[in-house]
Amino acid sequence: MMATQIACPMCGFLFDPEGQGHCSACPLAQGCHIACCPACGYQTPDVQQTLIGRWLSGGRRQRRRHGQHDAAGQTLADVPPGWCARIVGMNHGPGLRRQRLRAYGLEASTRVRVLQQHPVTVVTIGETELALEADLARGVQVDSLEP
Amino acid sequence: MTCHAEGGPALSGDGAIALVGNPNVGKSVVFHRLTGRYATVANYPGTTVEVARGVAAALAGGTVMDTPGLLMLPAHSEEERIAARLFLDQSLRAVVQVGDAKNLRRTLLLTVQLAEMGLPLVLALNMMDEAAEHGLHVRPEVLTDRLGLRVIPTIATRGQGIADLEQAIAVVQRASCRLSYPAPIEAELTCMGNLLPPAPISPRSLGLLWLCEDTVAEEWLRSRVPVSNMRQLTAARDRAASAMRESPADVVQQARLAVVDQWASEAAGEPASRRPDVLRTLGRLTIHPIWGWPVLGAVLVALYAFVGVFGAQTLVGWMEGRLFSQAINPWLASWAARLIPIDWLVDLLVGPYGLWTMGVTYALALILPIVSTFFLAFGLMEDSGYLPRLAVLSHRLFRVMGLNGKAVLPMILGLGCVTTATLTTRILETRRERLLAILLLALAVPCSAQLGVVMGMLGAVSFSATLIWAGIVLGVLLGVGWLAAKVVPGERSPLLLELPPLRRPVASNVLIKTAARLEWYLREVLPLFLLGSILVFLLDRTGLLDQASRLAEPLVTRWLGLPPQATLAFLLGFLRRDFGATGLFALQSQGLLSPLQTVVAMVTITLFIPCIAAVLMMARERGWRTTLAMTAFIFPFAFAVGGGLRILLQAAGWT
Repeated sequence: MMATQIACPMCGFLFDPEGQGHCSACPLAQGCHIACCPACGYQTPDVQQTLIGRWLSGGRRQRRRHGQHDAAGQTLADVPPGWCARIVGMNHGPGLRRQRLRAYGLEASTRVRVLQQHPVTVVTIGETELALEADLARGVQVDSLEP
Repeated sequence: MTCHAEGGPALSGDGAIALVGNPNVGKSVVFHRLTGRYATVANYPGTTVEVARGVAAALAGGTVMDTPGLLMLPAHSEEERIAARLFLDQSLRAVVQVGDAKNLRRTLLLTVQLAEMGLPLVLALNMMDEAAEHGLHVRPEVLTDRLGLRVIPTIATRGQGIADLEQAIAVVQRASCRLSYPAPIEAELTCMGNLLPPAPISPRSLGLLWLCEDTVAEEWLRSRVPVSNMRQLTAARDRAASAMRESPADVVQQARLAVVDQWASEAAGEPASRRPDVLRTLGRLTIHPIWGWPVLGAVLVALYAFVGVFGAQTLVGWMEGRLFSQAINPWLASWAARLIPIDWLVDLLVGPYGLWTMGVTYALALILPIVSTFFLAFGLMEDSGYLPRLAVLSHRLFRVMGLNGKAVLPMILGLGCVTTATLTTRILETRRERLLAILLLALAVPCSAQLGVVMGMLGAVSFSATLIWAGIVLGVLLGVGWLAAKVVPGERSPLLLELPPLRRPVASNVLIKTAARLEWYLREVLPLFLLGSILVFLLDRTGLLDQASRLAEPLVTRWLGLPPQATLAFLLGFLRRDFGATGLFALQSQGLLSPLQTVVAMVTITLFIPCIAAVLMMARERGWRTTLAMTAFIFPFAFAVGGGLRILLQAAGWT
């Protein structure tokens, strides 16, 4: 999986927390979750490296990603809670699973509303409320996100 | 595409009437309305996991079958396959599809499939009231016109539309629906025509099931079609698959959905916008990643207060403490002593291990108040639709145990009765998941009676005792689940679950259900408790009880640190786990158990094998080999954890 870039809270520089210049010299670099900005040297915790951070920031991260109008390759798992989206495609492996999702109404050109993303994705399609695991949600491609 | 009912006289005579439909649409309510027989009804998908049968007086005494929910064909889980097999194995007099009026699209997807089968079909469009509340104005006459079959609007919970439905069933005719599919499918369907054996469903629909790789149809065909023809059938399926970009099943479903979408929008249109109401908001809160937990906490506290405090302490106090111990039992004892000259008979009836003093008193004075309160609370939770929502919150926990959130349903039902919950594991998708769930049910999920006794006993000790017990049992559940998931080969299936809306429980349904469960409970428990009393009486008379106590002494007295009398309770535990727990309850009320002993005893008896009925059910579902292996693991493990806990608590200075 590609590492997410983080923005330095001090100078705003966008950088990849892995493979920064400072760390190679540090004896505590192993297992360290502090990222140092290559531009100004400011230290900030790399939230995505910590268990609690990942848990708590789940929802926020997705909203930010949406803010960066990353339209290509969005999935149901990226839709912020409370937002609507239109399904454009499904790529689920076994046929039976795809057919079941379709029977529940998850299919191309349907509009769905995402209620929440944690602990599992919950969506409403018409009058049906459906809970599905992130793995399944990631297989549903969507576009035209709107609050 | 054409759909119409075939002419000719109405069907009559033999064959049963099958109620089918998507999960959680009210099939069991319709069943109850048609037959007067009660089938368990609740607000979660998978309430019915077996075919129930009843007789409908209004339909000339025809047999009505209530089937497990079926989302679509091909069937997916074990319970769905049970429903799907019906169409191939039986010649049915009528098929009543019960559909959810507010989920027309999904309802019609199944209707089209059933109509293609050429079954004598009636569509009962249920929950019309909820559809109206959702701003949907469904017009059944439009569907009647498009589908060519009788479509009856119903509100089964209030009995509305049932008379019309009975009339429609009486004059039902075979549906005939012919949708057009892409050329490669049509070509293969024509080719396969001569290869398929005669079946209760139309050859075209059987061919479609085969092309869509339906496992039930495949099984059925393999047992009836010669190998050479089977090869040709497989070749036809392969040709169809290679001629199209998508699988035949996908293509067929899309063709059906295109038609269904059009009909659904013609019959109902777009729903009017809806104000958020209290139940909807509450429904959201119950699955909210943060607020869901306080809601769960509040539910558990309320459950504890009602069952553990009110049921197990207040009611039991009245029943056992006042009514039985002070009034009925002494009175009976004195009369028995006066009227019956034979000593051992008096002992058998009202002695310390007598039929009345032990069997009936345990069952009526100790267990009955506890299970009554539990079943009532449980019925409320079931009908409100809260249980499936727990799947969302608990999903991560079950992921650790190699399951998904859906497994919360059998686990919570296990708190009612482990035996029936073992049956409910059928809603899980893979064999591996069913096996894991059954193991955890047998090991660490206490049933209602036992839970009530445990709550009552621990409540009498201290809150920290309850926490220790809950922590250990939950820890064992997670630990064993995690280990078992590592050991049992196979992959976890991802969670996909429909969450039914929260509903206001209907008081009459909750009360009927509680009464039905109590009747079942007493019928099962009283004889077993009486049998247990006789066994214990005999063991006591013959001196075997003392011997057994001596034999078990190293285990019960030294390892678990319990008084010698507790051996009896564990012996009773073999018969029923709650019987054993009740024996311990009696010991505690006599002041023979210290707080530490209580906690150790409760943990051990909770982890004990559930009861004879549950073991038989496990064997039925998973075979004797698996059951014996589980039992061989559970017994030593329960005692190991109990003894380990005693050592730990003593070391920590907890008394």
